[in-house]
Amino acid sequence: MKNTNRKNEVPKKRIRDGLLLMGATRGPFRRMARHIKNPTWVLGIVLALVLTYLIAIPVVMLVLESIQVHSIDAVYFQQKTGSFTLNYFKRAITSKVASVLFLQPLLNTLLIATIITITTTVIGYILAWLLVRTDLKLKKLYSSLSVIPFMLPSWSYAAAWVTLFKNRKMAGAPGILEVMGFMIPDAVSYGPLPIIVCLTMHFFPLAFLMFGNAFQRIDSQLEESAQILGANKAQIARYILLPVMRPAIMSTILLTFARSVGTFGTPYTLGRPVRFNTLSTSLYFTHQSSEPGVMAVIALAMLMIGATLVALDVYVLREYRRFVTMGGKGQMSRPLVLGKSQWMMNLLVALFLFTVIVVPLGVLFLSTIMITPGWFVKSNFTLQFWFAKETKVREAVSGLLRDPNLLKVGWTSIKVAGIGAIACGFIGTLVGYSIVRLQQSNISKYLKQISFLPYLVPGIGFGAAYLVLFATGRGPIPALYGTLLLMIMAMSVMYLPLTTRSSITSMAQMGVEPEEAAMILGAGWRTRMTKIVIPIQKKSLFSGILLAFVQGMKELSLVIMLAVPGLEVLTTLSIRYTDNALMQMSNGVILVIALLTFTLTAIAQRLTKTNFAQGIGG
Amino acid sequence: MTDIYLERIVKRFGPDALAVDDFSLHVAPGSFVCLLGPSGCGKTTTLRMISGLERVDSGVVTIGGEVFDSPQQNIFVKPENRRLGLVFQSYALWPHMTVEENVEFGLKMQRVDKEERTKIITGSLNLLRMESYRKRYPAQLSGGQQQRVALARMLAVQPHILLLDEPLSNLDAALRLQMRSELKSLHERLGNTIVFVTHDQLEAMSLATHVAVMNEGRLEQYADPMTIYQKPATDFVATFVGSPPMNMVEFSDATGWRGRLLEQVAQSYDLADRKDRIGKIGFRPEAVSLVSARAEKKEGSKEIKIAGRVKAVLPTGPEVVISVVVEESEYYVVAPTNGGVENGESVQLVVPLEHIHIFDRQGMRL
Repeated sequence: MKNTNRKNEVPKKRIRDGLLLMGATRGPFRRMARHIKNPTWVLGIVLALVLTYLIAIPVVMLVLESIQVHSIDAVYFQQKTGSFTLNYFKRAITSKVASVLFLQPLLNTLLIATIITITTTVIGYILAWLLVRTDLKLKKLYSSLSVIPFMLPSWSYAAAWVTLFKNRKMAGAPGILEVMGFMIPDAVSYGPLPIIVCLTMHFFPLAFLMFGNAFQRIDSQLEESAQILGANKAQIARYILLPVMRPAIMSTILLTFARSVGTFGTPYTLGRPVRFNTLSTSLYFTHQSSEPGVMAVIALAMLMIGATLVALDVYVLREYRRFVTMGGKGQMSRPLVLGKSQWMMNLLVALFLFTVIVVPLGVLFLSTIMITPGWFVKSNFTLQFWFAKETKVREAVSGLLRDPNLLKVGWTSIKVAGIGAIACGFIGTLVGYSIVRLQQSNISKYLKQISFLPYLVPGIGFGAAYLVLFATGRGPIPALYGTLLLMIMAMSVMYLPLTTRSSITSMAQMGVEPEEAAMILGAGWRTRMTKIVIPIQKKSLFSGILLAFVQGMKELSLVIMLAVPGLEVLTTLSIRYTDNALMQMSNGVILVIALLTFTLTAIAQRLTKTNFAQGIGG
Repeated sequence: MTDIYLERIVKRFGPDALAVDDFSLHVAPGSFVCLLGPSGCGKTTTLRMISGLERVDSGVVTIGGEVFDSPQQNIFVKPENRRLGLVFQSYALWPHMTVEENVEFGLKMQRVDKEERTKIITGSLNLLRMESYRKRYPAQLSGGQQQRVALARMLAVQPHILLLDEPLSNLDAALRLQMRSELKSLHERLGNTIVFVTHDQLEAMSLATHVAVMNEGRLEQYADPMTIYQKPATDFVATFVGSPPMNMVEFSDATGWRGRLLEQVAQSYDLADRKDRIGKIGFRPEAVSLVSARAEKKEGSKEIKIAGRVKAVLPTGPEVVISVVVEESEYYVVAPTNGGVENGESVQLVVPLEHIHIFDRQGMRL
């Protein structure tokens, strides 16, 4: 009797074996046999393997790197290359140089990341509230302007800061304020204070976008119900708005913290003159001074911070799922009337945006057309940094637009970001497809987790891991360090969370019906993929690619680890100019990058007719 | 007991968007008033102006004898100080609070002490049969349950006036029927004044003691449900209330059968001298009887006859809706049975004269 029952079950399950494959039959072999016949499963498994190799294995290699003797240290340690050692950990944690190499940078990193997180969250929250929930005039304009700081390369603010506040401690052209006769103390010119200010200006758009999206989803009737029941504005903010926003606040905190930990350009530019190091700069210096073991330890520490943040994020999401804001018919969003404070708020927002957009970009531009920035006489103005065949400031250095090297480096940048973004877009679409179609299977869960990992993991730590994995040939894979391919690979993995997420959303919106209809009409898997799924996803794919491209163009912390002389991108070139005390040239490159990202974003928004900036917030 | 006076209320959203236009209404204490109208007619805006969530541009809102909103006198009482209840279409339950906490909120705002709060929460949850769900979050409740919590939350503060903004439109048909009877019995038990916004005429007819039909920001008619149905003040009310809607014969082109009909109606209603003022006549589908065209033509002066052809017979269960085409117009007949008529059959619509509604060229009842 039991047997017949079992036999009867099989065809029933077969019926369900459509697209979703929610259920699994008993018996691992039967399951496997069926899965291998199903292309979606094959795709899922292949992607899982590829992502494991590209995301998980580098981390494992990093661990090995930190506990194995390196060839350069073999003689000194009197151990064979590759044997087990704890010396690198000792050097980073307990030795005399531990404080300089690791402990102090760790403390500095946590300190500035914490403060930046607080400042950006507060600014982003207030700005999002003003621009979404109130009737502030010109709020559309303000909203689009508010995104600009995040489209600039991360250290643009640092560069502008140095141009303004630099004192004698650093070589090269003097700072504008000093030329104008002000004495600037070190604490203002360099170190934690300017780092925090600059990164706050760069990161607040992230918080703004995330809060803006969250505010938009809140039914204003939630507030009105409280008001009807006698709550005043403060009570509504305290008991209704803040708790409802808590999930968004938590994810914003985690994201800004992760980005602050991973950022390189700003602490490098502003910290170096006073030897203020963060984990990212310390990692870079250990790489420069050939200490691969300690570098691995620092990179691991950064990845640990990233992993902690990922774990927290998973926990927070689960915790808040029980009170997802319910959407429904009859939702309303009525802006709060500002009344008398209208013009006051307008003034404040305009002033703020002026300070974070016009001032820094103005300073950067001004510096590129002056021999001595800040000395406002006619003879001091020059176009040589842009157009001269050979600048008078330094021999053998030609103006940016006359420099064949700039063209070459720019082209490399476009290749790296462009090919990386396209790869990232297609892989992301496929990963998203597998996650949605294999829902509730372990493969789907695994893909979701691993593709999300780079989102909160510091880019420079990731770069270090890639460096380690591909420094030498392993098995069939040759040494890729110093190749364009490695940069492209790193880039496409780094922005995978972006494209995967947008793909999951649009895949879920599409539903299974279009594909099932094609199936009924006799289309095989490949036909469905190329004729139905990808075309429907075209828009989301395209905007995902462009978003990754724009981000890739201004990426520094990832590529700084992978760039070698002869293989540079625009961002590393700008840093190289800073190293050589060629401030004007460095600033010029930043402006070139900014111009490229602005133009591309504008074109992308035209083409896709979306507010493309919203994707950045994820 | 509290009444509401709205006097000549005007509300615009921007220069071209007149939401409510010179609207006056008196809601008697303890009555159950429905604001009925198509979407965008200004009924929700009216409700929001009563609650204070929206301010009037001109006019006066008086509640319980006290002026709450009057731009002329520079008076405005904030919604948080009006002490009334308002249930939204989306329920707007706070997702981060349990059922209990949702209900408790208003009491906390009124600084009711803890012991008293617990008693009231239990009372109002019991009233709506939600007592066993106290500790749940809104996301764990069904639509009907959320609806009850939204009601309990507002009833807990014992408002004299309860405002309901399409509270049933998110529910499925069976639940809607159940909540309707619950609302009605709640009103009978608690006796507070209720203003209810809906676009569902059946809901308005079955619940309200008075119905205010609105169109394009204006009040079309304010009366008890039976009057609204039997004596619609305008052609808009006549066609908006009732399903299938009232059949209308327009006289913009008064030739042929229309001309003869107009003549007959004008004669029998003593309107011969004002014939050109008659814009259209209407008759309810259930007032029509169908007679086969072959039947003997007996000239009766107490009824009108229109010849047409049956287009479709649509049984609904308790009755049958028959659609009849007369030239290019379509008329509906509701009858207990189809009476043996078939598709394509030529028939006569017979309407007793006393069931005819006459409207002038502006759409006002004559």
